[in-house]
Parts: sequence; C-alpha cells; structure tokens
Amino acid sequence: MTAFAKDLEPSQESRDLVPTASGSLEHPQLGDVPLGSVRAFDRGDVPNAAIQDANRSATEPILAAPELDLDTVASLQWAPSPRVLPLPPVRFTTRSRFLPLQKWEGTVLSVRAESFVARLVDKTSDAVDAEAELPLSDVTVDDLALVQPGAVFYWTVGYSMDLSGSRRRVAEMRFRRLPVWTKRDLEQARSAADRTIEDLGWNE
Amino acid sequence: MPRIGLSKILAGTNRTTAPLADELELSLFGPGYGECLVVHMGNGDWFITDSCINQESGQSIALDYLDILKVSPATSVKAVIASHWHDDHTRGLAGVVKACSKASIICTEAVKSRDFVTLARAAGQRAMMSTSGITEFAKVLDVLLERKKAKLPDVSWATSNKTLLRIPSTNGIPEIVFTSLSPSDAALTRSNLEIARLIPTESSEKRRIGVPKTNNTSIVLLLQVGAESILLGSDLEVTADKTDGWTAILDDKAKPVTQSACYKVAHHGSETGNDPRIWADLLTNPRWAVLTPFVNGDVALPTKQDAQNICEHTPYSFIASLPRRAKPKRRDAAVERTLKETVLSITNSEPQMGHVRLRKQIGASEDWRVELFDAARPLGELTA
Repeated sequence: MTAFAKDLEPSQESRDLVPTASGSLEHPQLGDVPLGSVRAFDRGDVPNAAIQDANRSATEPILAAPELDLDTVASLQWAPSPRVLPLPPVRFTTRSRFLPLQKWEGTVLSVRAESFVARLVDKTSDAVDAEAELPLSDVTVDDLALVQPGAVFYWTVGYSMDLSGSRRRVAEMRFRRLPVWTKRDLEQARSAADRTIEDLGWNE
Repeated sequence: MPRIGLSKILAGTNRTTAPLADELELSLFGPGYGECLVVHMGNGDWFITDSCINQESGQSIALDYLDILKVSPATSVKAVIASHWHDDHTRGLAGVVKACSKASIICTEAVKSRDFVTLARAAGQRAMMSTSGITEFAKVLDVLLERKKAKLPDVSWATSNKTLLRIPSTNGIPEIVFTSLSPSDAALTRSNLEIARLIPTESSEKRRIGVPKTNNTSIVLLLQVGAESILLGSDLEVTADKTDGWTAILDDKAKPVTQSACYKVAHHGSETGNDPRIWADLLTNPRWAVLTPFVNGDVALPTKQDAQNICEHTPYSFIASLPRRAKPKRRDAAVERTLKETVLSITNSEPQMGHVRLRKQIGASEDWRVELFDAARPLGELTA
C-alpha cells in the first residue's frame, strides 16, 4: 500500500457505503445512492475500492490512487453523521488507466514509401538496441511530417484499462517536437569553440 | 594461391594470454556497428585505432581487452588514433583517450578547424537524444583540455606520408615506424567545406548533429616493425578524383616502399573500399585480411559479392562477425503480439561482438597465427 493510501482513514459512515454492480453506492440504512458515472466495484469498502484497480485482487499492492484527491481524503475524514445524506465527495473520474509493458526511444534511420526504419533503444530493460521497420500508417497524421532521418520518437506498448475494468492492448507512438537553434545558442557554440581552440593551442 | 589449412585457424581459447615481447599482434573487434583495433608493436608497446563499446561493460572494448591481458593503458599504449569521426568508429573513444594518458593522440587536421570544434560545442550544448561521432568528439575535446593542463602528450595531425611515431630498436626488436598514408590535402579541403555546411542555422530544428558522410579523410596507417608491416585501411574509399581516396595513395610515388602481409580491409569490405591495386601493390602474397561488418538501417556490409571479391585475393580472410542481424530476445507475450501485428520487421541492431586476433613472431618466417573469438568467422562463410 502506498503512503498515500495508508494515510487514508475513512469515517465509519464512508466505510458503510458499499458499491454495487449497478453503479451506485448502497448504505445499510439509506439504501441505494445513485452516483451517475461511479465505477462498479464488487468488493471492499468505498475508499479502498476507490483506490484499487478493479482488476487486482485485494492482496495485490496498490500502485497509485489517481481517482482520489486531497479534498476527497479530507472529506472522508470529516464525514457528517449518518442522519445527513452521507454522500462522500469521492470523485470517480472517467479517465482510463494505462499500464505500460514496453517502452522504446526510437531514432529514424531512413524513410521509405510506406514505412520507416528506426533504431529502438529499450527503455524498459537493458536489452541491446533493436532495429525495426514500422509502417507509416501507424504514425498519427499530425506527426507524419516529423518522420525524417534523425527524428526521435517514443513508442510504448501496454494495456489501456477503461472504467469497466476491461483492458485493451495498445501501442502509442509520439514523435518529439524539436526546439530550434537560436542566435544565442549558435553564438555560445562559436565562443565555446574559440575558447577550446585557444586553450588547446590549435590556433598557433 | 595457397589453400587455407585448418591448422591456420584456431578457435580462440585463451584470450587472456598477452603476446610475447617479440610478437606482433593485431586484434580487431567488431560488434556489427563499430570497429576497434588494438595492436601490439613489440616490447610491450601498443596502439589503439578507433573504438567501439563492449555492451557488457559499457566502455571501450579496447580497455576491456588490455585489462584482461593485464596491460596498463596508461603506460603501454603509445598512440591512440581516431581514424575518422563516424559514429561506428568513435564510441567510447573519450574513455580511451583519458585512460591512455601517455599516448600520442592522432587525428586529421580537419578536427582542428573552427567549424568542426563549433559543431562539437553545438552538439554538446544540450543532451542530444542519440549520440553521433561529433558528440563523442565533444567529450574527447574535454579530455584533451584536461591533458593539456596536465602537460600530457599533444595531438599529432595525420596527413599523407607522415611519420607519426618512431621507436628506436630496443631489446632485439627492430625499429618501429608508424606512418599515415592519408588523408590527402585535397580530401581535407573538401571535408572542411562539408563541415561548414553542417553547422546549424538559426531557427533550424535541433536535430542530431552529424559529421561529413564521406570517408575520404580517414587515416590509412602503415606499421613497420623491421621487415614486418601491417596496413590498416580504415574506411577509406576509392573515388573518381585522383587527388583523393585510395587513388591518391596508390599513385603517390613518395609513399614508403613496402608490402604488408596483414591488411585491415578498408570500409568493411565494400566494393567502394576495394581497389585491385591495393592487393597488387601494397600487400604481399600470401596475405592475411581482417575486417568488421557494418550493419545499420538498410545497409549490411560486406555483401556476399564483396566477400567473394576479398576471398579471391586471399583465403586467409576473417571477419569479426557476420553482417547478419540476430532476432531480439522474446519480450512479454502481449508485447510480442503487438510487434507481430505492427512491425514489418525487427532485429537486434547489432550482431554479437567478435574478435579476430593475429599474432606472429617478429622477423620469423612463420605464418600469422589466427584466433577467432566469439562471433568472429572466416569470411568464406559469408560466400557459402
């Protein structure tokens, strides 16, 4: 459990809320509490369920709790009595999560009619560099103009998990937008070169 | 033409034994994209030409090799040569220059131009996403500045027909003479023009900074130890211009009159690095040829035809590794499925590192002894 999750001490009222498969929270006394886009959970109490991935067992470590913010935590600690509608302001986001399995940093070596060849540096392990021919059709339209020899891109393969808990295998390729040389950059390079030549005595 | 006998090819079994004081050694390392030569000139004196990285240690293979031989680079290496600044010949070179503190550093005059140093300083201004020869040169410049402060040996500039090093005869080992046969003045002039064009312009994207693509400022070296000699062809190519490339060397009447028995084949055995006159004029017969492959993008050298050409000149031809890419190791099953669906082809970018070692007693009439380690193979395997 992360420090963040460990620090979370839900009120008794909050603990009483049990999520149901219909997308609502059920309170022992108050019954169903519809919550619109609440993700369905099958186990655990609200705070724990909220910070756990629905696809993980209760014994698996919790890696992150992106659905809860500090306001949520404060609200849970200072929840009102059960007589007041015990709606904890738990914010269930609609964002899906991404679990990366493999990351590469690529450099374009050559561009062909319908594909490009790139050297891939493994950023997940210390495997030796790979060289791959990739289809240009996998590059987003916005990035196509960037596919030139020397261009750098990041390629990630992983699982995208949506709110229902289902996951899709996805590959994402993003090309790096490069900054431009400024007059100052070039002047600095020139003056550094002049200093180096002077210090090495190469101008004699 | 003598036929090669099995006794001449020994699968290397004991790499850790240093050569005897009266033995010449030429060790060539090549991982597929990269080249490094480590040469014993006799009497415990060594030189290193170019550098490539040992993936296991992350440093130059030259330093790892000297380490297993228990040879101190600080005291035993007399010269470090950067034959040219292409990425496949420079990786880890800054570490070599730093470790070989008593060695002369030998480069071409192209690198002392303001434009070349500016390129290096521009490349070093920010962390580039991938390295190139120029970023390694930027690191070498910093080491050279440290060496200058410590009053260590300076840089020597290689040009055609220049004696770079002369070690008098000692302990029965004949005089050692180390000569550069290139680059020609014309090649240097053209290179300077090309370097100037590579300097980034204002508002252009900060792409990887490269070095001139041509190989014509490569330093070809001739090592003479008494009557023995070794020719190291670097990446020099044959050009139409007679003032440049191999033609300039072959036509030069002032070059040392000698024929070498041992040849580091130029430019990874490519057709453009091969002139029949190299074999006829500069090499003895029989001769021993060693080379490294070059595998990068769409290029894989030597081709089968290149290998056949070389094998016609000598059956004693050996390559540090065959220019074939290995399949990458298997990854997570989901990643493998994605690769199968997405990628048109994927291979390890570099074949395994190999090491060809040739040794011979100086002055003896014996043949060169060949040892092949790791991925090194007889070149004939490529022609099959």
